Amino acid sequence: MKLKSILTVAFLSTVTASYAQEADAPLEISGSVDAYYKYDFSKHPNIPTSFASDQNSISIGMIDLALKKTTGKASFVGELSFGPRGQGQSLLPEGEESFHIQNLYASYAFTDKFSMTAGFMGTFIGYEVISPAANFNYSTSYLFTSGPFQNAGIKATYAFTDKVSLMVGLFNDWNLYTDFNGVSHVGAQLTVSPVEGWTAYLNVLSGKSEGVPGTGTIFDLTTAYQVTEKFKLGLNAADYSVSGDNGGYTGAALYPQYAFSPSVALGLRGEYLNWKGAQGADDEHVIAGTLSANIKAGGLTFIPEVRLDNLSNEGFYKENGELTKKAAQFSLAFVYAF
Amino acid sequence: MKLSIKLYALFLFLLSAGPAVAQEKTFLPVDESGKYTFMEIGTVKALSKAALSANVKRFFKSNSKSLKVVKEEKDSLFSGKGKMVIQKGIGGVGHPSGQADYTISIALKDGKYRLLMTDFVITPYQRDRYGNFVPLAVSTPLERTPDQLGKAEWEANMAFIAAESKKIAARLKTAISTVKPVAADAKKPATISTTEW
Repeated sequence: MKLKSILTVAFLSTVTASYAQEADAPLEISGSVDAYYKYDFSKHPNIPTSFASDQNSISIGMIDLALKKTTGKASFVGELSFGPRGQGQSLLPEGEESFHIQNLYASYAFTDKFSMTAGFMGTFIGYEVISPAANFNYSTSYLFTSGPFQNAGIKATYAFTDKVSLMVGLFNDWNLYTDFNGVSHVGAQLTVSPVEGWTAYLNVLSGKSEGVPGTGTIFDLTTAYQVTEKFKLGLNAADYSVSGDNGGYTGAALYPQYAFSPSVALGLRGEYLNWKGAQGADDEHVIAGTLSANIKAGGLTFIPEVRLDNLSNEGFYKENGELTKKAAQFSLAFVYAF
Repeated sequence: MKLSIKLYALFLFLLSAGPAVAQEKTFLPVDESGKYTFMEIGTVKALSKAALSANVKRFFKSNSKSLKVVKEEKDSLFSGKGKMVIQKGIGGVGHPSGQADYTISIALKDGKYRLLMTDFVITPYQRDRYGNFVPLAVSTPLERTPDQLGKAEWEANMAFIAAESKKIAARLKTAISTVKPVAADAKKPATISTTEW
């Protein structure tokens, strides 16, 4: 059985090499690996945002592998991830899967301006993403954790000009391969690039998810402006509400980043998030500040980071187990993108 | 089943993890102003300047996705802009890692041409949330000296640009040397007479 698998891989290597020579557009293979060490100064894993959850442990994130192929007007992307960040932490609730599909979709460009895409895709909502190779900070924001990670659906995109385009689509419930109460979400994204170096996305996603006592609607603004060659400013603001006074959240995060050189950059994330109390309950909010460095050498990025979070009500733990409003952590992470 | 998935994943990882050093590490020379420049001078004695000019126009047209003419001067100097997508990987399998924009000029004399490619500006790509590689908002001239951490990537980009420039020069040489046959008038079909025979 083992020999059969090894021979299969060897054969596939030969076939793929020769196929790559003959095909018009080569198969694209890319991905990343990441690992981290995190230490919360209270010795409790207080900060509840996504991934990087282990306290005082040298832990792994995920190995991510993506395939893309374009033939004429048609293309597909298939992306798998393995490891804690790519498995249960990418898909809620945690299942027994040994891997997770990050993207699985096909596209067809009917014209230079109009295309359609269907499948399971990274969400169009929000500034941060699951892949650590595409985020500046290693820990994630509360906005990211609270919003969708992926959307299965079908969408159409029309580029009015090279500065303005519109996407509309039908989607499953957040993060699910299967929609158990029928396709019921409608989403849209307006993309504008007013000037060179500045892109803004205005997003909306609304629908009735199974198990949620109302229709949930999220409005989201994601934008980034390369102000100068060295200074970049990003912004994410979102409002999510579930109808019938069933809660939601409102928040904003600012991402100023300064590149001392192409290899060394410093970035700050300042975030405010307010959780709306459901059925008359009080709101709660958090203010979080994260300072990260990105030190790059080829495909490798080293990310040292410190973070301070402050809740409106006591919800973190001190070292002695008492509740407190504040939490602080530092982490060291590496991400290799290939 | 799980072991097979792991082996396939390992194979894909190894295939794409190799550096883009399939090309030799060659560097472009610099011109009088200190810009990295690819230059090639060729001779095509059998063709007049007019024929060379027509061939150059056809060359730009057939490479219109990556080359664009900006200025023509008296059919003897063609200036334009070009873009090459920098590929990273091994064995022809990998992904785009950036693009190099450049200026191109082709000068003609009777039986002779000169190709210049210079003003290379590198824009790195990053994979977006959908698995597609898209350009970042910051571009860097090739002349900018990299720091120690960025040196290997700069050298890989330089090697790719040098190799790709040679390929473009080879394509130009083939195109500019072509003696194009006079095309038959394809619009009018041949006529026959069924009355006179």
